[in-house]
Parts: sequence; structure tokens; C-alpha cells
Amino acid sequence: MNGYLFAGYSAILVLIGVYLGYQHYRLGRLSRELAHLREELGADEGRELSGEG
Amino acid sequence: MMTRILELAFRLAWKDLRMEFRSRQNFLTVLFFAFIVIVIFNFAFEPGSPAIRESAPAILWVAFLFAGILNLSSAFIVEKEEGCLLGLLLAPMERGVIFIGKFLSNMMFQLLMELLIFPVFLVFFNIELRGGWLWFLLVVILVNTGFVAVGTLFSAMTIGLKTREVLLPILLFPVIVPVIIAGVRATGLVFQGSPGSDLGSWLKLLGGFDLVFVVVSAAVFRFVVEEAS
Amino acid sequence: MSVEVESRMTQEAAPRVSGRDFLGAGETRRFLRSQAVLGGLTAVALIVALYMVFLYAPPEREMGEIQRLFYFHVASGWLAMVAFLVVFAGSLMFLWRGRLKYDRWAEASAGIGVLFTTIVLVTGPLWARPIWNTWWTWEPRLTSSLVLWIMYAAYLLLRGNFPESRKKYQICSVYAIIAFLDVPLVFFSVRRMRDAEVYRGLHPVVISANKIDLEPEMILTLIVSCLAFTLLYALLWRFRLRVGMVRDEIWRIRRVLMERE
Repeated sequence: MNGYLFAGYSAILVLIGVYLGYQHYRLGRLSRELAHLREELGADEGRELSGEG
Repeated sequence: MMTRILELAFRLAWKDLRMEFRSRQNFLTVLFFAFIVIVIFNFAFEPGSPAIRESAPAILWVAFLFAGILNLSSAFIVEKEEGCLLGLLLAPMERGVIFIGKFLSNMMFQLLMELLIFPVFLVFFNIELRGGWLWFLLVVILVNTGFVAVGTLFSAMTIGLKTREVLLPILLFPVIVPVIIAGVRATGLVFQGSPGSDLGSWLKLLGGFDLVFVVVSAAVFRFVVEEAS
Repeated sequence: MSVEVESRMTQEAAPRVSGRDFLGAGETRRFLRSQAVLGGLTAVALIVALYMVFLYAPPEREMGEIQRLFYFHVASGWLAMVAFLVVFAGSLMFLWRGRLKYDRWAEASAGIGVLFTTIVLVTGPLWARPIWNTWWTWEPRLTSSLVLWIMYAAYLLLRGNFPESRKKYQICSVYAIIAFLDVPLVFFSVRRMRDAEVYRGLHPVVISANKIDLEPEMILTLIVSCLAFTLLYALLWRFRLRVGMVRDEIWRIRRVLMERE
């Protein structure tokens, strides 16, 4: 019984780890896209970003 | 000022009733639906058996609430379609008043529907109201108040959504659980003719629910109804 | 995200930024560093909790080893409550102050809450089956958890049904507030319903007003588990919040770019 429980716990912890890894990856991908878009925004960046957003 | 609020609310409610009266279709459909639910339940159980007699209060409220949801789904539709909602909002009155007006008109339709269905129910189930009419009336008022208050709020929340008819029950029924539990139990006690301290505690629960949620619903109504420009 | 939906986002719906580097490379690095620290702490806490659950806490007298599920079950329930408290607070603040970030708090937290309520609803029956030979009992706590699950799953559904707009956030905030206020009423009504019937006492009442019916090692294990899960919640929530912020900024810039054309 203990074995099953332990396996279950560990499985869930592994899944959580996978989910965190996924979030990390997604954050990276989105940040890159954001940086790209900001470049596109270009010279107006200062005005656009610090204005009412 | 209080009387002014009530006066406005009543006028709104009256406007609703007049509009609805002209389209009696809607009300009749809802009425018929409640009737059908009761009949279906009788077929699902063994008609006339003790099992179904015990479940009578439950069946009564299931019929009332499901029909009530239909009622609520069609609230605000006229306002939305005719664009009156914007007109109402432009009028110089507190949003809470609009809520109370809508609440009152929904209540009236709900109570009217229940009033018409109840004799049918009594006949089908051979119920005698041993516990007294007054108690039963109290239960009915309390249950409907809670149901219609939250229902009116949620109904306004779902205006304009395509999935409105499906979403409204999904949103409303979990929140209404305390009312369903208390209402069915209290009704059962009244049917049996044994109103005692048990009935009192259920009534208190209903009263507490109503107090909290009528106030909260009226207070937050404005957030739900304002059009984002 | 489709163009039509984006274009319906109002100027108001875009979040405020507070500096040039916000969500930029430097700030993101700092965020990830703090997350790593938090993650490390969480990992340590979870491992300690795991050790305590299996090796430190004594086996329960009557129930045996399956009882160890209890720590996970309660800690998950605790985490779900924290999550829903944040949803409530975020919704309240959003209606009061109007700043978009509060709605993002609620958005980030709701999914976590539903997930862990699901875990509660799954571990409950897993425990009940060997002990009481029944998968489900309609006893107060489990039933209230079920209603809780339904309400917040409905919240997620509700969020999904609207295009992004201030109105959406207002409506969802209202629903979250109503749901949260409803929770104690649901619990009381279900409990009263059950008091009159047979199932009373089936769910172990280990923590009541007068005493805690657990041995000290168990109490400590429970506390450590809840603490570890709280850290886990913070970790998950910050990530979701962050991803939401970046996504919001992307939408906002896309809109600005579209308006230029």
C-alpha cells in the first residue's frame, strides 16, 4: 500500500515539475515574441509604453 | 428617498409586466413546462407509490426552479433587442433600482406561475397541507426571493451571450444549493404537518441567504450592466 | 488569438506598464531568478513533507497505511482554499480599484484552485473505498467540495465565454464574489441536511472546536505539508501571473500596431 502511495505522490510531483517546465518554456517563447514586437514598435517605444496603457 | 426608490422600482416592474402580458406566449410556455416536469417525474417513478409521495417536495421545487430558469433566461432580452438597456442606463437612477425593478417583475412571474401549478401538484400527489398554509407561503416567498435575486443578477450577466440558456443554469444552480436544500426540507416538514424547531432552522437559513444575496446582488448589479464603451 | 478578438480589446483593457524595462530582458531574468529560489524552497519543503508523511508520521491505528493520503488530501484542500481566497480578493480589488492586474490575480489563481479541488475530490474517494467500502458519500465536506468545484469550474467557463473586455472582467469578478460568499452557506446547509441522516460521522472529524484528535507527529506532518503546498501555490501562481502579463502586453502592442496601419 505504501508503495502505491509513494508512487502516486512522486508521479504527481513529477507532473508538477513538467508543468513548471512548460510554463518556463512558454514564458521564454512569449518574452521573445514581446521583445520582437517592441522592436517593431520602434522609435515610439518610449511614448507608447510609459503612456496610458 | 426610500419611497422614491420603491416608486421607481415598481414602475419598472409594472412596465415589464405590461410588456409580458402582451406576449402571453412566453409565460404560458413556462407554465406548461413546469406542468410537464411534474408529469414526467410521475412516470419516472411509479405513479402513486409511496416513493414518489416522499419525493413530492423535491419534485415540486425541481419543477418550479427549472421553469424559473427559463423565465430568467428570457429576462432582459427585450431590453437588449430594443436597445432600451442603454436608455435605462442613461436615466438618472441608481443601478440598484433597476435591479429591484427587474427583481420584482421576475418575482411576480415566478409566483404567478407557481400559484397556477400548485393546485395541479396537490391533485397529482394527493397532498394535504397539514402544516398550515401560512408556513408554506413563508417557505415559498423565502425560496423564491433568493432564487430570483441571484437569478436576476446572473441573467443580466449573461445578456448577449450565445450560450446564455445553457450558461445561466450552470452558473445559478450551484450557488442556489443552500436554497434548494433548505426549501425542499422545509416544504417536506410543512407537508407532514410537523413544523417544529427543524423548520425554524431551515427558515433561518433561507432568511440569511436572502438577506445576504439580495443586498449583494443589488450592490454589484451596476458592474454587470454597464456597457464598456 | 484571433484578430477580431484582439481588436475588440479596448484601450482600457491593456495593462499599465511602469517603466521601460518592464517585461524586458533584465526584469524577466530577475523574475526567473526569484522563481528559481522559490522553486528550490518548494522542492525542499515538498521533499521534507514527503519524508514526514511516509517515514516520520506513525501509521494510524485503525486505518493503516492508506491514511497517509490524508496529508495530501487536506493540504490540497488547503491550497484550493488559498487559491479561491486570492480569486475573491482579486475580484474584489478589481471592482473596487479598477486596475487590470487584480483581475489577472484572479485569473491566474482560479485554474490552480480548480486543479487542487479536483485532487481533493479524487483522493477522497480513493481513501473512502478501502475504509468504508464506498466510493462516494454525500457527507458535508466532500459534498461542499463538489459544489465548490462546480462553482469555480463554472467561473472558468464563464471567463471563456467572453471576448476580452473590461465588461468581461467585471462580470467574472461579480460571479467570483458571489460564489465565495456562498461557500459557507453551502457548507452549513449541506451539513444540516446530513445531520438528520445516516451519514453523520462518516468523514473523520479530526479537527473540531475543542480538540485535535491527532498525535503530535501527525499534526506536525500536516502543518509541514500545508506549508509546502502553500509554497507550491506561490510558485505556480507567480508563473501563471507572469505569463498572463506578457500575453497582455503582447495583445496591447499588437493592437497599437494594427491601429497604426
